[in-house]
Amino acid sequence: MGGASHPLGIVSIKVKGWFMRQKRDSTVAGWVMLAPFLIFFVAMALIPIILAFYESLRPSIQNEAGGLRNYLSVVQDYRFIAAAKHTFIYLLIAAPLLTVVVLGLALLLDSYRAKWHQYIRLAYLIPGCYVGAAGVLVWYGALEPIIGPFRSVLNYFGIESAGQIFLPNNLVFIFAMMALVANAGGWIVVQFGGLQEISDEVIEAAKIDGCSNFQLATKIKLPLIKKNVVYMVVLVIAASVQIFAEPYIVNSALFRGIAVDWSLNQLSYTLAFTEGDFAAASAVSVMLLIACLIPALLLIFKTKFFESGDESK
Amino acid sequence: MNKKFLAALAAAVVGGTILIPTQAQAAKGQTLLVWTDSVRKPGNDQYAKKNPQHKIKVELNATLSSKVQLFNRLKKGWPDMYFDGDPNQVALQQSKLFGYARDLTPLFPASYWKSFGTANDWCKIDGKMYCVKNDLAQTVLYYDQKLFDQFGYKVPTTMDEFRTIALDVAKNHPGYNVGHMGSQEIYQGWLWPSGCPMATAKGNRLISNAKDPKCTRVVTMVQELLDAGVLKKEGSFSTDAQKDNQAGKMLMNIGPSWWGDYVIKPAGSFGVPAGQINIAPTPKWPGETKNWSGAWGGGVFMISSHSTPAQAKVAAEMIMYSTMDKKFVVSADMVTYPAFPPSAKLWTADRAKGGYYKDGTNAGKVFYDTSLMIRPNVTPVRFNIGAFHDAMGADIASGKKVAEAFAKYMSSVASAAQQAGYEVAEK
Repeated sequence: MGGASHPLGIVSIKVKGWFMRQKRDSTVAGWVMLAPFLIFFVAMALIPIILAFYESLRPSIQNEAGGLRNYLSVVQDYRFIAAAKHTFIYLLIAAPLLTVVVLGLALLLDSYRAKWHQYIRLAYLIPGCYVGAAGVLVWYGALEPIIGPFRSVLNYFGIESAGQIFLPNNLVFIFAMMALVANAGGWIVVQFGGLQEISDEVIEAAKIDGCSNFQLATKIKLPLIKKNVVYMVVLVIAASVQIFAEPYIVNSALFRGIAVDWSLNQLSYTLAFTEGDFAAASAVSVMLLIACLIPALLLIFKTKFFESGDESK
Repeated sequence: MNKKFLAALAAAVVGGTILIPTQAQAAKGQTLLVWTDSVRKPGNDQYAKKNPQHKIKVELNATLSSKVQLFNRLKKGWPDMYFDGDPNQVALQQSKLFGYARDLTPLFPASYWKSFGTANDWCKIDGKMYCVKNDLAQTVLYYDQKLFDQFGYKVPTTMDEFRTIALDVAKNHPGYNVGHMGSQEIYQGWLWPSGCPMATAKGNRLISNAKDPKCTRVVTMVQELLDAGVLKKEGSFSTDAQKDNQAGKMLMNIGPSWWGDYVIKPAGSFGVPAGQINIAPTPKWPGETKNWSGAWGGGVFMISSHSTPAQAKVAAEMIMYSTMDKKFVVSADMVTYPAFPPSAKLWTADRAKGGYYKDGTNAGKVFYDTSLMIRPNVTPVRFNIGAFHDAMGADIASGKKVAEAFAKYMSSVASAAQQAGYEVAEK
């Protein structure tokens, strides 16, 4: 174990005698503190993942023999490629957009410290209150050029009908925008919190060394909140890969038929709950899990996410 | 035989509360779970209330298709009776995979099936009845008599006449429209009555042929009228359609029987005032012998194959109540066009008094006649074809060429059919 931190985040102490007992005690305490998380993790993540994998190998409608061939038959489904393409393009647009906007705004917010900061932070959180179904409806209202509140603006730009905006090729951008507005606020507050942890001495030292505001942001602040950023990117990628609510609601409630089985998660839903093919649906879910895990693990190991900060040698 | 039956029927209409005699009451004290929708609930509730010997729980629930597989695994949980607003579901629900829909043929008196005529043929799969149609959604031609008089048009009886009027409107009365196409309109109101073989299940074969002239003639005409600006690419439920038609721009429109009360009349929808709209049979395509209709909706009752015979019997009685109780079928609770023809007769006679249509008596007659002319070339299929109807409409709404939207539709149908185990054939 050496000098590295305990996986539970409690630094082990390399001394003998009664210190050992204290170590045992702290290990017990660690497990007790971890228990609530562990219970949820096992019940809500680990067991479902194992069940999904098991289910994905059972006989499917297309492949009655079951087994790993289910994965091949799912990829050969006539809807799979299109859904994978949509999901991938959405990921490529939504994840970087969110990351850049969140970091940009958090750094801006941090660079000018003013009294009314706390109110601004609150304002950032508000759009995050309407996510999923409510968020979709708010955006529908905002983009509706006949009855919506911004119709005069939209009409000024020549948009007279919702059909000019809600087009199949625009969907990926509309969904990315919905995700950005719904999620950016919460992340800005998180990253801003991280930035505020940076000690004033570091900032001042940098300034004395002639650091410009831009350099301060990119060379000093960002590296210091690197782990927060990695954490955010991992979660944002996972959320983007699993996009479901936005296309599902737009397709079933607003513009029927515009996004049928648009994303992979939607396809999984259709396979399970319209076609009754749980094996195929589980195979898609497991693929989505892998698609989330690969970038997450890459990021975590590339950035030495689990190593305890600065001093450990 | 037929005459005798009609006489008995007439006697029942005059004398009894129910249109044909039901079989002996089912065994007492059955416990039933019924899943229904808000429109059908009043009828189901009334039956439950009138039959307190049974413990019937009527719930608003439309999720059978997404849960039936879970119930199948648990071996419990199925509702004893289910109403599905999507009539296509019957093919899935009776398939081996889902196994929910029970063969209803022996549960109802033979006279019941007989009085249905062909109106319940949708539910007949391999010679057995797997559902009962609650309502029919036959397409008709809605037209604005006031505008027709003003512009001097004669009501079209053929699609050629429809086209001639539409092109004249484009030229001489721009701004008026003959329909919106961005929802399921092209499927229900155009391709279906034309006889286009989109998806006809015959056993395990699915007939589907995009190149059939009965399909291509529709694609050509719809594109021509869209290009002329007289058919609108947006759907009938879009804010665009509401805006156009609230401004009085709807000259005529091919739509299902429920559109009058639910799309054309309501102030929040098209808002066409009473006394202006008339209806006529869907115009005839060249070479056809009949003014065929398509259908948009027309929900079905199913009974669980997992229920006991006694429970199934009660469920059957409940369905008979909703479809043919004399008082119920003309009450305000019966908002859709009854599928059971004797009930439809009563309903149309009653609705003729309603006063929305300019000529109510004629409207009642047209509804009745067209209900018997739903073209039988479309059958339920074991995949969710409704999603493709929607997608074809969405493609048209997005400005895609009709030919492209239709080709994509047909290729989706073929792919889904193959995955569902059908052998897809052109003939």
